[in-house]
Amino acid sequence: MTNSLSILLIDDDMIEIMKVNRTIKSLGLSHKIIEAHNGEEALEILSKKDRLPDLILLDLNMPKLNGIEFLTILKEDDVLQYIPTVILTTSMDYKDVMACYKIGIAGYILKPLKYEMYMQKLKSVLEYWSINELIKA
Amino acid sequence: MELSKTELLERTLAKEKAAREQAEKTLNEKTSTFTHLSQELQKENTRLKNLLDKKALELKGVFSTILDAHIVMDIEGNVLKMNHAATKLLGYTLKDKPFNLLQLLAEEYRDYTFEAFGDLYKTGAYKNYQAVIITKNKERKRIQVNASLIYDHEGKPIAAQGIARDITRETQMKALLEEQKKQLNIIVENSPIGIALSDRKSKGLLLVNKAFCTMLEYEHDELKSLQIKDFTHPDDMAATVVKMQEIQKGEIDHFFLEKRYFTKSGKIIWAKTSVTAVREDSGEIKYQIATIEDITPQKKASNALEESNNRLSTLILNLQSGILLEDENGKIVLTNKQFCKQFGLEENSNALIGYDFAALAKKLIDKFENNQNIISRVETIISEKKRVLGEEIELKDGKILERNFIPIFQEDSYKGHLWSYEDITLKKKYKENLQAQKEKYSRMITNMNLGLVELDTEEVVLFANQSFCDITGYSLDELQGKKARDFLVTDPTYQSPSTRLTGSWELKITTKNKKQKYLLVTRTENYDVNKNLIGYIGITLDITVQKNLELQKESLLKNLEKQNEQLNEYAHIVSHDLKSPLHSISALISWTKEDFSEHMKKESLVNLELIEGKVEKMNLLIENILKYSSIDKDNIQNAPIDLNSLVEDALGMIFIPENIQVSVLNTLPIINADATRIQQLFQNLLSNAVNHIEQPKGLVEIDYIEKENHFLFSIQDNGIGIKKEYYKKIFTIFNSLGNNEKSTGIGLSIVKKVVDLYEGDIWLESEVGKGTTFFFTLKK
Repeated sequence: MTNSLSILLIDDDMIEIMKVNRTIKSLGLSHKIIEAHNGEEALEILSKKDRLPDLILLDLNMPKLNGIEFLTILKEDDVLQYIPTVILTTSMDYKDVMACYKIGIAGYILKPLKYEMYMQKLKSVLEYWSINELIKA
Repeated sequence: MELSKTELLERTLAKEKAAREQAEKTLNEKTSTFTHLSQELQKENTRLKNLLDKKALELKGVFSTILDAHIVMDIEGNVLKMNHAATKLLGYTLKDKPFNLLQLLAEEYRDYTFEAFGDLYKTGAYKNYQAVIITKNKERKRIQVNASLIYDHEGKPIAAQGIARDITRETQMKALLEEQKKQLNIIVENSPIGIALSDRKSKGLLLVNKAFCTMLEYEHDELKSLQIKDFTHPDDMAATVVKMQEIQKGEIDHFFLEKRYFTKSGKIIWAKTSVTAVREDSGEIKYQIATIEDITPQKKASNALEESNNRLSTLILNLQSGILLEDENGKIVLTNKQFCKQFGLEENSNALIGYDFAALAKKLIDKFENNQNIISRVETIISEKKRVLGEEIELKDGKILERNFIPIFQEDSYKGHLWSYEDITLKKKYKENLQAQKEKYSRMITNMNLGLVELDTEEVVLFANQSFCDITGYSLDELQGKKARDFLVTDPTYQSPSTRLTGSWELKITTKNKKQKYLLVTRTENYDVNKNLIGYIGITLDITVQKNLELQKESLLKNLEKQNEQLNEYAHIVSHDLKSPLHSISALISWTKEDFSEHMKKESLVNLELIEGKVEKMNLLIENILKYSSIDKDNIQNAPIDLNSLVEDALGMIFIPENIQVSVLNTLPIINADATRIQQLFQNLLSNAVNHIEQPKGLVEIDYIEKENHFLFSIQDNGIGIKKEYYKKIFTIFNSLGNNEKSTGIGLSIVKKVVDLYEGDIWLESEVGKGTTFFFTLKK
């Protein structure tokens, strides 16, 4: 039995959001996607705390509050720090990978160019997290 | 002398005594004969009467021949008859009136005389009666009397007769003699000089005094059986014997000898010995008198003196200074080897003794440099008789001597003088050398570019050279006596260790005209000759220019580092920003194909695929540029890598068509390097090899040889080959040869960069149409 996840997707690129949504749709999955276009927006959503997401998919390169800055704030919060966060990025920079793991992440996924391959990777991530036991609010 | 006189006297006395005794004896004999005859005559009266007359006549003759006084007296002592000598002795004559002998006796002799008379009556004779009488002239005379009784016919004593002799003088003489003998004994006994008497007959010493016993440590009696030669030291025996023989032969009567004796305890004493022979008239030795005087201390002292004299002469003879001693007449008394050597004299130093100095000086004159004044100077010195020290004289052979003149006075009277010469050539040269060195270093210090400053222990400036003044802008006057650090060092935080006194450090100072300067300071302790710290010496080098350059370089480097970092960041941002749209395009095309494939013409679909290919190539290009830019020394993490598994991993990343066979010919080594970079290296070379094979049967071979300092790898393919003109070009960035879709022209640039990183080389051998072999080395 797989869980239906509530996923906070943080990405400023509209097409990237479309890619996630299209993947979930074409795979016929029942996960709920909450969209945030930058870190600030995401914090706003999270600040309500009434319905926290099961998983956060985070892009690194964003205007205003970037991915790493957002992650830092998240991990300083007593409650929010327990939400598993998976990085979804095109950056192969060693420094970025290192920084993220240091702050605390649940995964670092490099986005491939080809959509087919992207779909493949995202499918694996979602499948993995949907079989995980999660902290329910 | 005293002795012989006494002896003479004694001898005379003895002779007199003997003659008198003879006379007395004769008289007594005659008297007794007479007495006897007279007894005979009592019996034969007549005949005897005649005989008596005759005898009486005879007696008269005897009396007259006696020189001594002869007195006949009756039993009461009244004088009956006396001769001329008696008259002379007593001063009385029978003509005056009869007198009694007893009345003449001195009071104290009365009792003794009565006893003597008693004896006379009993025995008929009395000898050696001595008494003092008082003569008519009131003289006290000592007389000696020998008396006998005269008997009558019936044997009754009727008278006494006696011969008296005046012994007053004799007694006095005897007493005197006794006294003298006693005195002589005292002298002999108490003499500090040992005296021994021996004669020819007895073997031992007849007489020795106390001093003699003490000196030789023998008891008085022990010496009676010993002779002088028994104590004589064997070394002195011969000399003693010679002298003794001379005495024996009568050649000499007396000799002196300083000789050694053994005492009883075996000690050796030196004694001045005098032996005198006392001879008989015949010339034969009667006595030998030996006197000995202990001179051991003097002898020791004189030996010591002689030894010290010898030492002194040896010392002078071998002294390193030339010595010449003259007496007051200018005659050489003493000189030494060194003097002869200094002046090149071939004579032995002893040969010069007695030589005239003036003559010697003339002979030596040619040896002196500038010799015009030498003689006159010497004459002046000698005539002034004053001490002259440390005069330098130069010899023609280059030697420099220091001459001292010391006049010698003994109790204010001039006794000569001493010249001494010391060779100071070396000393002098050394001094000159030292001076030259000193000047050399002074010039160097003055002219060198380094500032030199001398400080006392309180860091107060004692001296600074011109360079130091030039550097700081202060004059020597302004620096001296001040603690220069206080006003020179305006930035004490800059490297200047105020607690450290020696060593090297940099200083930031402000000059007099307010200019900032940097100095490199080296400071050491300064000690005086007794190793006491007296301060410090600082050497300063103006490093302002270098320091400014250094600071400039530092800031440039910092800038560069920052820029590099920014550039790296920039590359990542750019790549991300470039990749994002590509990803979007790629996704959109993919969706378009998916959503509209049924409605599109075949050409349109091909075009969409072409777009996808270009997008893919662009993405690869961006990724490779990023890889290339991230290869640098600061970004590598070296660890041991097993190349066998690494190559296997690399091959796994490459798509290898089935017609191509890739083989590793040798077991690859384990190297210490960054795994990611090395994998990139192999991956790029292998994919190049695989991608450029057009043969139906492709072959890629990896080989390896270990060299002394590096690993040599080769990757060989049977691909299309590379023209020689491109051998170099292919390693520069963005130079792709083939029309391969996937070729970005960066792959080999990355390879070259990694090889460079590990100080290796890369080259290739190729033949167009046959294949290519890439060789590369990695440093061990």
